[in-house]
Amino acid sequence: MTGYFTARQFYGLLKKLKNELYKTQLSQINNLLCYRCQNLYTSREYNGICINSYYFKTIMKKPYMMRQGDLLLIEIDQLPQGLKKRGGNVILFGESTGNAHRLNGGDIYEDGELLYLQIVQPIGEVYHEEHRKIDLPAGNYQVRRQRQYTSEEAIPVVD
Amino acid sequence: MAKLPYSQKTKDLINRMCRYVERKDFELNKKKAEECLLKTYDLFGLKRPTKLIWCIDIFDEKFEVSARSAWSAGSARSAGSAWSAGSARSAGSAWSAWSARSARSARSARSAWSAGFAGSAGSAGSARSAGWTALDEEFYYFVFTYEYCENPNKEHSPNENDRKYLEYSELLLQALEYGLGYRVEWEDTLYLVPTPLVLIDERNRFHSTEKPAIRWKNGHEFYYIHGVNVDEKIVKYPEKLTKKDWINQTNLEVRRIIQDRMPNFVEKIGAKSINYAKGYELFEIDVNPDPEKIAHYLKMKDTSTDRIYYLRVPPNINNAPDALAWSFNLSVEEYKPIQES
Repeated sequence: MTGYFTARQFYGLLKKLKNELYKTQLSQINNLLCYRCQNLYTSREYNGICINSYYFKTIMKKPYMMRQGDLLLIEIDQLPQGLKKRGGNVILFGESTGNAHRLNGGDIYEDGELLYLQIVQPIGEVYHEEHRKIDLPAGNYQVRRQRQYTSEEAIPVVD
Repeated sequence: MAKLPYSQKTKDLINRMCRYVERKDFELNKKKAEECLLKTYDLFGLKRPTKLIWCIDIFDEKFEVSARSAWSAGSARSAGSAWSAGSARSAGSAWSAWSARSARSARSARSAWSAGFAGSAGSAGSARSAGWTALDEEFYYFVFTYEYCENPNKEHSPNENDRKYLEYSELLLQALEYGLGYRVEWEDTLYLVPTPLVLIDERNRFHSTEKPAIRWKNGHEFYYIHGVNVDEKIVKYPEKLTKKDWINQTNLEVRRIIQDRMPNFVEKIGAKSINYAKGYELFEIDVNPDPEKIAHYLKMKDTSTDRIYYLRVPPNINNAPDALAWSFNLSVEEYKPIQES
């Protein structure tokens, strides 16, 4: 997760954006990298000013990871080659309940059992009838399903 | 009084639909239901089918076969059937002018009846076969169009098609009130299925702790606990549930229902806590005669619903964080979600 802000904008955003998503993102910022001189500042040291430039790049702890029930979404730099785009907004369907994890603001890609999301809107969301929704900033994500052990093999969790 | 997102008349319509979400019992009036459905043909100047056949439920062979044939012939909803109504509605009608307001009203209407309708009852047991239509399948749009005609947008006033669509939907709603649930037309014959008896909980999920939550009279039955499709035994004879039933059940939701319904679950399972960390607890359970003898289970509490789930992990994992990371095929160092819901 990266983004470019001027120092002034950065402070402005700090003050302004109170929503949960942004708070989570800020707590994840490890370092600030001066965009021009490539000097690194940890967020504690950072005093709002780099003598060379006002441009900073925020460096988030990687990878960006969120969980909704039996799904884990892990940010990846880019989607693997040869994926097929899947229609509809259902990421994973629950057999016994008819509930589903669904995506808003992006596309679902698949390669056999493997699933990937590409968020094209500034913020996409994954929602489900029985879980709180999670916000996903624009980017690419790998979808990981929770698995369970049986005496024969590990199988995906079904619900 | 808070302003309604839709007009009072639309609200009345939604309430009328909601009366049929739960159906404890009803008297099927075949004559009147048929008449309503046949009138929809007249409405669009289509020839009425000559034969009408009532089936017991949607799994009835006659119904399934004709639904499949109609589907593969592509005639299920296309030309020749009264349900080209759908396209009449969309062509050059107010639909092009969907306003945010009516979208909102349709959404709230949807949540008002949500699960309990024939359309979703039809997907019971994942048996939804293409081809037939539930009468209420399009009621979502009915509310939408109704509200639109009540409160039209100045630039796009409702046209003849929209009014016709309302009349058509009204006939379908009446047929539903008389007890008709599903229909398919094939080779000049209309195959009809009554609505099932449906029981729901306070959140409109299929639910009954005594009876089938979905049941066609003399036909198929489906058991549900708060929206989770389970076996008859779990609903009717929870005292007969055993540790084996719990262990062999691989569906997490169903396993959770078993642990909730099984009397003295904790004693019967005999789990021994071996590690606890950050809300997750790892248990050891004796699974004899399973060749592995003991099994390790991770107890997790869902943060959105506070439900308790048990997940089996390999027996060589001895602490809860490792078990959780394993379940996502990651190491403890790698598993660092910033949000869990």
